[in-house]
Amino acid sequence: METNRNSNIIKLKQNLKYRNILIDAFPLLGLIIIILFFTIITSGNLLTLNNLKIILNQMFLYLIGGLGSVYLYAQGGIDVSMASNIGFSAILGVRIMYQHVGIGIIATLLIGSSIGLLMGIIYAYAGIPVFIQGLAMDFLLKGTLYPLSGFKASIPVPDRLLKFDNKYFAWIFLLIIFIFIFFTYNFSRFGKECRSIGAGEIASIQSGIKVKKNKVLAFFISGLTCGIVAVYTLIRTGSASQSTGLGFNFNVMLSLVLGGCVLGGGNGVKVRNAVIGAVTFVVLQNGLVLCGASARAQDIVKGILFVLMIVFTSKMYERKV
Amino acid sequence: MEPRTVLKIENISKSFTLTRAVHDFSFELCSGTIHGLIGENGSGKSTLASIIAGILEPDSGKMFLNNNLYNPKSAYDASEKKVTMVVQEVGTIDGISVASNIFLNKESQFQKLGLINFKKMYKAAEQVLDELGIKHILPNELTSGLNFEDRKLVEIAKALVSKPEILIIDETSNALSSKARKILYEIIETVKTSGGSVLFITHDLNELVDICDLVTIMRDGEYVETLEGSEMDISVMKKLMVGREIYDEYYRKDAILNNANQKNKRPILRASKLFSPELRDISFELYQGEILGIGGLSESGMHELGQLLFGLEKPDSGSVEVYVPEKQEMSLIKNSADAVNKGMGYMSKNRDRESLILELSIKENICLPYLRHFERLGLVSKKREEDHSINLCEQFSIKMESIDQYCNQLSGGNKQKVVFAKWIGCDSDIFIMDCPTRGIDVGVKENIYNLMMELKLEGKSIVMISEELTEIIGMSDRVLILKNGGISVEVKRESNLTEQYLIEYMI
Repeated sequence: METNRNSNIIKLKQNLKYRNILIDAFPLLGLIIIILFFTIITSGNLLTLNNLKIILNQMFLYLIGGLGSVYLYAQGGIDVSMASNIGFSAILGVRIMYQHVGIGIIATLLIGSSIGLLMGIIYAYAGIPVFIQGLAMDFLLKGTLYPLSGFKASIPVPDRLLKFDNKYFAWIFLLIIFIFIFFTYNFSRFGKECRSIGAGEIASIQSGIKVKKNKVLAFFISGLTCGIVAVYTLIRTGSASQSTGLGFNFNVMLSLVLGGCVLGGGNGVKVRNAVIGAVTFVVLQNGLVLCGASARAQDIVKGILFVLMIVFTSKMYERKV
Repeated sequence: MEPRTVLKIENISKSFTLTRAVHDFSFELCSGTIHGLIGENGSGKSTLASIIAGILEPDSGKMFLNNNLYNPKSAYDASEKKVTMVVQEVGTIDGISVASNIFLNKESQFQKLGLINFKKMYKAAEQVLDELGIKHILPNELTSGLNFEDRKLVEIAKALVSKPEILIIDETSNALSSKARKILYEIIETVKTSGGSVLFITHDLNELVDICDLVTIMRDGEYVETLEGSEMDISVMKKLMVGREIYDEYYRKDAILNNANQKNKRPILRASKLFSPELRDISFELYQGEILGIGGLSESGMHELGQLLFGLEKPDSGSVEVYVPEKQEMSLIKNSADAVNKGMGYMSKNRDRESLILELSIKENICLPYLRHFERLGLVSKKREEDHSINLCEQFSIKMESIDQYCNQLSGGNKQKVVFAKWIGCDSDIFIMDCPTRGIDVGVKENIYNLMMELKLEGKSIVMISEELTEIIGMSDRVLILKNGGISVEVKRESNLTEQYLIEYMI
């Protein structure tokens, strides 16, 4: 009987292994399904060279946004004020760029990261729900956008900024960010500590981890990411306005979740979530546009998918752990 | 009244993915009896209890309640059938009042036109609490403001309100002070005299002999034996639980403190005039190679003292200093990160939430406070991490599949071993242990005591905070008893130290 039991256990373990592989592969499967679905429905238009270029182009900012958010998400945090941070940094940045383009770019990055720093300090020390804090900051920044833009609908960027629009540089830059984040997130002390905070904050404090410092740093990185996104948005759109960055926080959130990211934090947050998620999200959005779906219809699809994926990933993660 | 069978269990089995928790288990519960259920950690007691209480569904087997097939769909369903359970961990809801907790799912009796008359509910709750002799908990208080023990009492009150025919108590008394235990025993007696039956799960065998009429022993999820009345001998029960002989004396053997050894040793930790909401004027020193036992009622402030020593809480005034070898002087503890840097390790009473991160692997838990030592060019070396944790897991013979297994799959005893491995792996010099053997079975307990002795002999120092006086007397070089936040007595190790003597100073 004992041997019978042992062989049962071996079989069970095998099954568990397959199940875990399946759970891990799910976001990738989802991506393939979405690609197939839209390829068929658009009778191949999705995969034309021209459209692939567009997809790649649209993916860029979501990749940066997602990658820059992994530390914060790993801690179980979330930055709801990302969109208005981007808008704020972009508008202020543009005005400085008229004085000097280089200084303006640096200023944009500094403004983004300062807001991140401020958010981080509130996150670490005030002890209010991070979501509420984000909403409050979002409202606050949004309110300043119109006056800051000098009550204009939009401010065009100085021509000299457009010289920075170099595709190769952009993608090399992204690659560097990816490699840096991949290694630091997976193998550095900071990355490991972020995950431990998400999985158990009290136990992390009791293990001597500087939780507050970690929280500030994670938000700082998220803020710096907003600054980078702001600069690239300016370069690509050629102007700053109240709608710069609009919806970015939700889109990043959705793309991370589509990539299999667990919103509770901990080991369920992985770098690949940001990559697979960004691709899935952009293909989805692009596919919907090709199908002729209106912006409102897209939002409805996004909303439904968002809820479904959150339920699904958290349930799967529970099982896996 | 002739006892009759209230609950009959036939061939119940339950497995979780890889572990067989309960296997082919049958037994009967009679009216008007207090039935003990014992077994080592992971022997399936809690699983069996959860099945009876409707929290888990068995894989196979049948249950009969008063000769009717009993197949509860949920805990609510079971409580409708007058089967309730007080769970091992906290079973109350934080954000609502004490009264709402007590009358959870029974609010309708206070309902009028769809609205609940809270005044009425508070009054009823007050009555329930009064009956139980619980005077210090207010019915309109928020449950989140209560400490662990008071929440347990609220849960017991809640269980009693449903006038249970079967009351299951799962290792609750371990967390209670003697005053609260008394209340619990009274409640058990009430259920018994009114013809109900109590299934009492505990690790405290002395307590079990005192209050239970009979006891069933489980091992590896299987039924071993039921003992009755005078057959309930502690050494027999231990043997049946473990399946091998366990000696009574698993505490350290040197009964009298060797004073010659104790001389010339410098203080390694010093608490000076600590004041906090829970503590008043606590000063003491901990010496190298010393086990300092701290005892008291659970509300005496001893658990808070542990947190204060480790820098988790800040004192209103006073200071905690430890000896730092590099500087050759005493240095203040600022926070927990600082404490870890200065060679301290803390084991919380609340193992699952505070000492361990259940959703991380054994390796990640063990390496967490020590990560900086594995760093190379800014990244943590995977190999060093693995070597470190494999060594420690072997040293502590942790039962696991691999070091990448998640901690939530481990039994209580193994979890505590991981906590020990974590701090010993850090080369800690000072260990603050808050109830290190809470909810741990005899076999692993023995391990832990041996380990504490080894640490002591290596010159490490231990502050052991415990609610079990036998453990404090058995292990400490010196004992501090706390009462109402102050030190009421300090005693050195001696052979004729008794529990009675220490209790005098506790109450």
